Amino acid sequence: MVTSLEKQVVIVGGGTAGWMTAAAFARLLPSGCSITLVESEQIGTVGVGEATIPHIRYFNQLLGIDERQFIEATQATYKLAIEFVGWGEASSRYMHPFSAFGPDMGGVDFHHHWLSARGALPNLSLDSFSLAAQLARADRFAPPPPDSDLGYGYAFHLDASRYALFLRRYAEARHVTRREGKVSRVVQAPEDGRIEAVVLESGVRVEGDLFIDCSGFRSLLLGQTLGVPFESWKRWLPCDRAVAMASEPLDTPPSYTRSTATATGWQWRIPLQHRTGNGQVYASDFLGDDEACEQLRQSLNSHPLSEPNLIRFEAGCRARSWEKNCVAIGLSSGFLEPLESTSIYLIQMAIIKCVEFFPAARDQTFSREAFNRWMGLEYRRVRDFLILHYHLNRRTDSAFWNGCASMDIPDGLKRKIDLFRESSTVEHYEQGLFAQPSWLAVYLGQGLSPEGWDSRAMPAAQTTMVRSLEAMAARLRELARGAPEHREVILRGGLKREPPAAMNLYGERHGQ
Amino acid sequence: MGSEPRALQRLVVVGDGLVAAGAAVTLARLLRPHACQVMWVRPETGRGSQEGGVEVADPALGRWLAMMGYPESELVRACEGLYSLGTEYRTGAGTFFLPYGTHGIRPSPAPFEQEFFKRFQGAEQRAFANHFLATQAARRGRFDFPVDDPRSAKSTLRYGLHLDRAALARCLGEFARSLGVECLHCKTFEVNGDPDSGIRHLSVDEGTEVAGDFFVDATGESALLLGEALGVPFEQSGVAPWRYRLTYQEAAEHPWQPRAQMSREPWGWRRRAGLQGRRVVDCWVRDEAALEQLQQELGACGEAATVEVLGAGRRASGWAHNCLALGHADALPGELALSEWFWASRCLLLWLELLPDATGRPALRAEYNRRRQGLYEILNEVHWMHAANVECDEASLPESLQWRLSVFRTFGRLWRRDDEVLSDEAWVALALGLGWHPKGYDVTLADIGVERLQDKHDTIYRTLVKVAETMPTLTSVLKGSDKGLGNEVK
Repeated sequence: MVTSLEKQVVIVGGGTAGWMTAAAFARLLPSGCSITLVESEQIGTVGVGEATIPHIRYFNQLLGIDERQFIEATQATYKLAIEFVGWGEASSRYMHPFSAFGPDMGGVDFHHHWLSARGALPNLSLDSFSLAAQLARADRFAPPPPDSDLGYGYAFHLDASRYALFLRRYAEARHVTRREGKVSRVVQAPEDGRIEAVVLESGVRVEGDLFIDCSGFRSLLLGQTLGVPFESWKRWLPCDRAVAMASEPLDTPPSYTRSTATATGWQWRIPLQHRTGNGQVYASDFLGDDEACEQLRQSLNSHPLSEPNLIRFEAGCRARSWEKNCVAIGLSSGFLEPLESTSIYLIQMAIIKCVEFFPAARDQTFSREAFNRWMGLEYRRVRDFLILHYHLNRRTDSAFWNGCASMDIPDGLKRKIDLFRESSTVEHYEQGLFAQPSWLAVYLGQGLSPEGWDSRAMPAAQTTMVRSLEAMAARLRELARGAPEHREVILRGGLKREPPAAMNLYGERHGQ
Repeated sequence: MGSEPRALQRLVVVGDGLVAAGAAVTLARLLRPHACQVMWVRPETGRGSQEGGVEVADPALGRWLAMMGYPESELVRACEGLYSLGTEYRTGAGTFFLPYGTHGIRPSPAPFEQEFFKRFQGAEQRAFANHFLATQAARRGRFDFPVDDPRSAKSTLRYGLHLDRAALARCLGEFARSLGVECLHCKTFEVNGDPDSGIRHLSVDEGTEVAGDFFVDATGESALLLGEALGVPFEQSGVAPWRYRLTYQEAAEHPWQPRAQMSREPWGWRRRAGLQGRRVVDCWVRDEAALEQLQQELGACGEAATVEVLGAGRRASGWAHNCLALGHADALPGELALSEWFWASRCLLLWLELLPDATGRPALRAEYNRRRQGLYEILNEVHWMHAANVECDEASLPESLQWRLSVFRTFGRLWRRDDEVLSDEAWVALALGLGWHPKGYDVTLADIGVERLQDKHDTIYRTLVKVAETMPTLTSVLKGSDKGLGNEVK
């Protein structure tokens, strides 16, 4: 039986990761646990994850947060997809929606039928068979319809600093203690090296049983104190700089994030209610910081509201996210560029797994092992999916992209690509974020043409199949046109009733 | 842009048992609409007709029958079948019921089983399995079909079947022919093929040549196609918990009971599974000495028994070139809890999910073999769970199972794998029943009083008992009208 759940939990670092952790712990951990968060107003936050994926709704619902209040507090807009511009050939454009594409037909996945018939359907891309993508293209938003064949998930673009503040209020109202101050020293137990306390510059000593490192890139506890090494993935994800800049809000905020490939990386555009988040991610070997800032300025769709904010990073993660009695959550654990909006998701998963494997006894061996196995898998699966975008580029305009196309990639990813290239089959796995629809979006969106597909999709009566697919796409277009404009829904404060959320990228259809 | 795939046009199934018959039906039903012919070569030298055996099938069989369009009620009649709601276990530590279906209780806030980990320590946690309608109904000899209405407790039911295995193979064989499968009986056959290029054709009864563009090897452990002709080696498992299976018959139980029974014995496990006219008893026996002892005991009672030597292990791959091995021809993951047909059907459905064309598709084959390997390990884990702490210590269990059990025992959490064969609830009930008891529970329950949980569980229990007592007996369901038989919610 549980020996003791009455623990002193100390979170080092505020920001999105720190306050998400504090809020979730306040809600989920036993009342006997004390939760203290140490942060300093003198230390800025990176403010990761302005674009999110649908899992954030599950997190908010778990905490009992009302969606309309959340939208108001974080100046959020809805998000149904990410549009990738120029990632295949320079002129290419595709959506990665939070949905599957089309229904299974005759027990065969839809995309095989589409591949079989696409010669006769030059104007219908895979996006045409996703209601979420169609809504996004039309700058519209509606909650997913009950028809499961059309189901999708939705997420938000949000102001991460405001989200952290919102959660701070939530957490402090639930007895989370905030201590202002910089950590000057970390005290370790001489016998086993576990962390006993952090000492602030003021001399205040904050003791704990379990320490959560949310100190960002510094990785103050896990990296600096406990010496857990950082495993770099720069050889596969070569970008190491980002410059971010806010601009005025768009008149018609789209219900999707845009990612536009440039000659040396990519740019994001994230529409919020009160501003537009813009950024450029690039490889410093190929582009200088000043040039990057200038390129970003030139690409803005609205007047700038801030000076460029430069962020240096390296893709990779710590060899272990949980070491001794310290759990790293967020950037202190690892960093993957925001290409697929996974930062907040990885924070969320770390929090959930920390609660699932919460150590009841003093011995945390199994908690550590289980947590590290799980998070290691999550990071690597997301990593491979990001590498896919770079590796499958079909651009010919720069050494950067040529290098990405010809680089060695992880074996597991190579196997996945080979399988799809040969047979249009997406390698199956159940644990991890991105399932078949996501892989399809990128494979086909970036122009990987498979050599074959399921022979059952060879239409005996091709004309019938073509008509059927045309009718399907027309229906989705029609449904999208009939949906409210995204801008209007936001002006009304969001949906009146929020549908139940799932830990799932695609609504109820895939990836359960 | 790819070229049009060249669809498989002629499939040849080789073998004479249940696996071959089931494969012929599946392929005919699912591929004939795509202009694919299925030929079934039934060699006398292949597997026997499996007279006397019982197929203890979980609810997956019912789903497969529905997919194939075979009327379940007809099969039950033809195979002396009984419906089953699960398995009653008797171990040294007491009894427990492993139910099919679900408890139907939504997480509030933690998953339902966690409440029992909070309430109880040790073996008392087995109370979890008592909160399934299937458990309460089976204990009372009651049975009913699931309903579609989620408000009804009966929506949580799922059922399996006990069927005379030889009759089942015959029924499926006839069904295969009705679906247009061309059936060729033969005394002998030779396989013309080699490890470099695959199978070219079969020479049947020294004359007829049977060609195909894909072959299904259901010839049992001899694996005449994949093993002998294509040279895919069999990788024997170093150890096996039970070396023999001894089978005998008993008189039928009256009234009929909707469950199988598993009992721990000094020599291994004994499973009793009822049919309408008899009960089939399968004994998994540890070693030769134990077998002799059991045979003496049975001899004294006048029981005639058959004995089978059990192998363990798998072929290096289940699909090579143009040949897929199914069932024992592929691997022997252990059948204490899940049968050869279960293993074969999962592999066949996986192959159909991936479905190659006539061009070969090596990456697709690799993906099949990767997932089939995972499936094998999962089935093997379920088999080994039954051996822990008796036939072997925990340190001898497969490493992946040791890890899963550690996580379960420490946190009460499941460590899921891809393509699981047991539902989460069944895995929990089985692990608890076989002696793994979590020390921890979901921390969101920490502030909830045990009394509150007990009240909740008592209410659920009373409701389930009440519903179970109003259900018909299995006997009345089987002897009554045909109302409700077939096309049930699976």
